[in-house]
Amino acid sequence: MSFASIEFILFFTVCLAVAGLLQRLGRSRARACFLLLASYFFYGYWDWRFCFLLLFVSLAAYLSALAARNKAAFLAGVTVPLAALAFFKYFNFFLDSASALLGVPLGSLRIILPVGISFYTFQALSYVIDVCRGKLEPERDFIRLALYISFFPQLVAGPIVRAVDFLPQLKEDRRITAARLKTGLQLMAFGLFKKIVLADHISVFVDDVFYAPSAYHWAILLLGVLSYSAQIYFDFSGYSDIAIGCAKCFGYDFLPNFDLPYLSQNVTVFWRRWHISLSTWLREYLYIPLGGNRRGKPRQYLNLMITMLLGGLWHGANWTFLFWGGLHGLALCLDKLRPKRENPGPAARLLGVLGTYLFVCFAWIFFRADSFGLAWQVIKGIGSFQQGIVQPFFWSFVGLAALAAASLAAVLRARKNGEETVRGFYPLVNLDRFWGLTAFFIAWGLIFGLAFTGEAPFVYFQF
Amino acid sequence: MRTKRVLWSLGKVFAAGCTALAVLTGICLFYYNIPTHFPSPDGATDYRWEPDTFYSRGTEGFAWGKTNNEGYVNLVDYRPGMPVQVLVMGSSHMEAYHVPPEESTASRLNARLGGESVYSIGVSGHTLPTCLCNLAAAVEKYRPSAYVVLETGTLFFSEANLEAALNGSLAEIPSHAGGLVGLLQQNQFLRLCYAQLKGFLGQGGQDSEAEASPDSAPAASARTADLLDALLGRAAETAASSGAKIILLYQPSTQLSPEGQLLTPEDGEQRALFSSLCEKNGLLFLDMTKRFHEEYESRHILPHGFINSSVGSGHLNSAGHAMIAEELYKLIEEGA
Repeated sequence: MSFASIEFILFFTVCLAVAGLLQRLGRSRARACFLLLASYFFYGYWDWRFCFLLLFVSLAAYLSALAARNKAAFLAGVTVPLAALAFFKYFNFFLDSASALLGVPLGSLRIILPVGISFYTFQALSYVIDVCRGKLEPERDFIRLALYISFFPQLVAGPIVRAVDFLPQLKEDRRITAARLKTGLQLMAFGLFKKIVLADHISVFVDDVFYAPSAYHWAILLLGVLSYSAQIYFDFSGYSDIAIGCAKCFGYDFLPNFDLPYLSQNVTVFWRRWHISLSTWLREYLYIPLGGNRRGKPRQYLNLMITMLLGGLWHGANWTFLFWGGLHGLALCLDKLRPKRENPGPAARLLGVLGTYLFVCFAWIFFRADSFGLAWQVIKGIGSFQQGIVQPFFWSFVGLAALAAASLAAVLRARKNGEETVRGFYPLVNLDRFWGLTAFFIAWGLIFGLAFTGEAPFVYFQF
Repeated sequence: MRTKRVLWSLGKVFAAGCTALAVLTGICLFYYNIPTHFPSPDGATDYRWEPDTFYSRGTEGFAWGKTNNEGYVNLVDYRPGMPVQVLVMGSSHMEAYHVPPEESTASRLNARLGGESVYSIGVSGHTLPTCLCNLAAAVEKYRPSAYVVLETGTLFFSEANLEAALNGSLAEIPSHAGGLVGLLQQNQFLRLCYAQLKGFLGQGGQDSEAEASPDSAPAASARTADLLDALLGRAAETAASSGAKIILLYQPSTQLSPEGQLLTPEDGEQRALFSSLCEKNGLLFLDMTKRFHEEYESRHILPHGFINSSVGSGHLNSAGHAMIAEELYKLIEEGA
């Protein structure tokens, strides 16, 4: 069940009503059980068989954490989610790669990739590792742990909520309140607007351009690449907003997952602003355990490369994702090598933002293209000033203008408040006021009326 | 006290909802303003739009204008007895809702012919069998003196449809202009919501219209050929009753291949069949396939698609209308 569907609206409304009723009756245990069942229903709506995999990963995490002081139990707790991920997501990829390398056909298995497996396995891992590190007490209540791993707002496409951030909330008496609903519904509206109005419309053009890149004029190819940068941002940050808003309605708080990433002045900052939950996870559970920056510069660069290559591979079982991760790893290393200026002037900052954005866009070509051949066609087309179809796309301009406007608003706000760092924000309205309520209804009306109604799944579902 | 507060809040929600609806309806007047349609009184088409009404379309292309006094998208108003040289019939492509009215095939052809001699009664959903069913009524009413253009986006038709067209039992496109549904249609935002809801439920959205995709064309049978022969023969006779000749305009759907080539339906046999049947029955067959390919290969111009829809697919764009108008003009000039 996708967030951008009529089914989800019905599901969400029923869940909210039942959870609210149970809360009113003071049945917090029943409420947790209900939310768990609802989450499994949400997940099983795609394919009920994968509920068993979700349950298995949850059980493995639960049992191994209970005996986390035991090395074998800890290893099992780490191995089970990783093995599930490796099998479902990477088995055929490794088999195909081995086939190509050896020149011998090794065949392949018909494996369906379970939706969201990369997200919930990482959550299970974070729990087991945090317990082992002593950051968290093992959770004795299985319902609570299973709900942490499967809570439907973040189940299929994140954010990757760490156990230390979310499990304590499940122990508290978090309530559905009018104030939370007002904020949550507005965040959901922002997310839906980004996803079904902007990202989905833009996807039409991006799909066209990446389907037949040799047909287009170089300027249109460039617009296609820039459009993809807008599409993927709106798609994924939109999903995150819906997830955060949805959780907020039920009384839970998720940390922000995006913070105006295209305003980053270098790639290091970009990764602090893009998919924050993933970069935090990779830093906490991969980069730092590898040694981080504590073992000298060469080792730090190696750690960065390993982290980003694996981060790339996490996104999909394809060499293009690995290459994309490698590009970012390389850029991070170069950024560490670069001499830093204490207080760069406005021109240097602007150049930094522009340069970072263009680099990120270049890397997106490999992220979006299904093969290196396709990516090369796009790059070659732009570089050789290829002639072809000149048909710009209206929604690309709307999306890029919206990005620019949001960035400008954030810059002006930071300047007004005298803040050093520019942060994204949501212009929420006061729903107790008539005009606030009117604006809220207009926003929902526009979202529904302008929504793209064709097939456009969330980009990050495939990960 | 509590009841009063609840009532006050509910009143506020209601008032805010009404205000929002008014604002959204205002926005839709310029984004998605489709007039209500009514059954056609004369049978020249299955339905017509509300006459003399402002319309706008922002979902596929950007266009707005006013329906004429009969309810067709036409720059020319109809006056009884007015001389019509060329009558254009067809689907939404000829209705040209998606381009400015002066850029439609009919308007461009009119400009080329230098007068008010081209009249279009193209309406959405009117496929070739529907147009053939309506042809007699249309010819009787408009009495075209030179040509009747019948547009089609496909050359593949089911036997059942052709049979129905031949014996006059083809189901008419229904109109729901009366009652509550008709009333709700007056509000453009609600109408947009209905179209969106249909889209979300996978039943076609704002601009869905069945089009034969290049690789989904069924093979033609001998029976289909016979039915077409009979239909086209009858159409030629009908047009001749007012001294007109029929131009069967075929504008194929297009799409791009991954290699960047323009694809049109693989319908060579069907085009040959239509060509021979038209020749046999005294119709002119205008096939746009070659022209579409030439324009793409020499100038990278596509006949379909807009800046807010998928590249190269969907309805005819301004360039597509221009190509068709030019080819029609050439054909008419040759005939003259």
